[in-house]
Amino acid sequence: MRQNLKHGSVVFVLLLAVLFPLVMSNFQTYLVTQVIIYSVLGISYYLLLGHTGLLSFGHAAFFGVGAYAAALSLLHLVDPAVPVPIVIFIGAVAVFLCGLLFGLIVLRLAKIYLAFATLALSQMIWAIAWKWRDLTGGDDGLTGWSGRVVSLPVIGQFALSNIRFSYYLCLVFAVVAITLSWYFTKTPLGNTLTAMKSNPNRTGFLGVNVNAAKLMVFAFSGLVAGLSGALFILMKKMVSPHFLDMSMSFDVLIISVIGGYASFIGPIIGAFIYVYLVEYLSSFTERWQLLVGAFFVLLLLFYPKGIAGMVGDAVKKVRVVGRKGER
Amino acid sequence: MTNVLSLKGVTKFFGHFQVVSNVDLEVRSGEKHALIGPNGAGKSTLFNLITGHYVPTHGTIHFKDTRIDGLAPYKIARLGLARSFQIINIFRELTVFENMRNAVVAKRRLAVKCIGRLTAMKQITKESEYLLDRFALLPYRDEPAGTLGYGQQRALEVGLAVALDPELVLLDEPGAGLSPEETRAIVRLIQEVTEQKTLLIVEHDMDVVFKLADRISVLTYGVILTTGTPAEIRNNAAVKEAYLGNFTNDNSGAGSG
Repeated sequence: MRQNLKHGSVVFVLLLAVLFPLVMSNFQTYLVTQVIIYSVLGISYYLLLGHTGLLSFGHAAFFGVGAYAAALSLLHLVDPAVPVPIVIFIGAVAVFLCGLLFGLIVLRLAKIYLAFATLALSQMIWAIAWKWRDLTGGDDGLTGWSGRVVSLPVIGQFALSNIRFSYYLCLVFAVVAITLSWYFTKTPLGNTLTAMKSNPNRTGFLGVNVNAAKLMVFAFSGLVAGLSGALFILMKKMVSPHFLDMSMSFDVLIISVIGGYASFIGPIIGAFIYVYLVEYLSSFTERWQLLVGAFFVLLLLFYPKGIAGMVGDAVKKVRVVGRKGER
Repeated sequence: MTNVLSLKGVTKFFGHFQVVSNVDLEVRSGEKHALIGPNGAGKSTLFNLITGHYVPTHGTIHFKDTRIDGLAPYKIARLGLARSFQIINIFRELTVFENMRNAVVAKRRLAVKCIGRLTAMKQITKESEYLLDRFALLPYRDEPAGTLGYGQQRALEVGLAVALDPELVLLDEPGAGLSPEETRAIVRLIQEVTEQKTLLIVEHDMDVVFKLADRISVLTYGVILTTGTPAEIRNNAAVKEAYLGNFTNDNSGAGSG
């Protein structure tokens, strides 16, 4: 019964997502595309923080490296209609490698030390993007693919400016990435990561190579985050060092906490609220960041488990009341 | 008889403080060996040296023919040497079942496998439940381990070590903080589950030690005073003076009273 309810709601949300651009305006479609991309990014962050208990302040590096890798491949693969899955694949693999590198460097660190090491590493990557003008365009960033046509094997060719195309492309890749991430958490490795979150010391004494597991989650989280970065530049048609900077890392953290950082669907809820909150608040006032900050603080004070935690608690309460009713 | 574990000249300094001095210790295959000594004698440090938590300053530690001093704890555990902890060190937030399953997954070397769903691996579920049943923990299967009573947490603590099916089991004060009935229960449990295994146990409770041990080593101030059978230890003058004096008096007092 519970399982059916779960499956039913997934199918329902997917159906809504498929129908959405057919009935809503282009602007709304554009916003929801952003929600989808941030959801993927948020889930890649969940794998580290919510699932394994590794706090990173450098997740922007994973997002930005994927974005730059995809942008560069799009610019340098001169074929008039580049197969778009290859671009996304390059973005994802680049960050898979970046995740391995980060993992190797911060392997022995935990808690706040880990957080600041990742922050430092991401700032280094930001500095490279800022200074290496020949490759990255420096603070101007990279543009020049807004008029491009890309191809999808078997299906055909599409203009990147087609908003509905962007939307469905993101949706398909997001569904794949989210499903893979879900599966990842259910494997023996996923289980080991939860054990490490609870008690890394004992996990090691059981004969588990904790460092290997840590490396693997960094690499996999990188893969998923890189994919979201690649999707983002296909939608935004530009990339700049802002994608890599500290405020981006904290945006990811805010999305996770708003939605509920310890829950798998938390980041999806968080991405929704964040995108719409920023969009509507910034149309009212220039000081929208102050309001987002206030919302964030209030939520932390009263619902530290985020919206997902709030809903979860409510469901539990209903169930307890229901059980009492049965007696 | 072959030695499963042999320590030669093991010394550990913390700064200038010598916690363990030139310890020679041999644990024979199949025996139940107890390590006793007053508080601060260095028993837990010795355990931490054997299981890789610390690296000895001098000396060597062999597990059968493999030199293990300086190896990472997970590598030592994989060789077939598993330990429990004096201070309960379980997965408090996870359920009792998940705790045991972590050990079973680790034993089968599946811990970093990223293909296949764990819940679909029925043998693992079955083995975990079998072990829970053996440790009388099956009734608490789905409760968070941190909410169990102290006695049950102790059983789980020992269970996580035994679940790895090691050749050598090291138990660090499995009776610590237990009531007399709970102690009797855990001793029976330890006897049952270590029947075919070699056991090295640190324990304060002398009832537990004399019930379980074939041989006893006495550690004081980081030095092994003597090793012998329970009868030898009971009658050793130096041991009596250093450690057991109070205990034997208490016991005879209780017996005559």
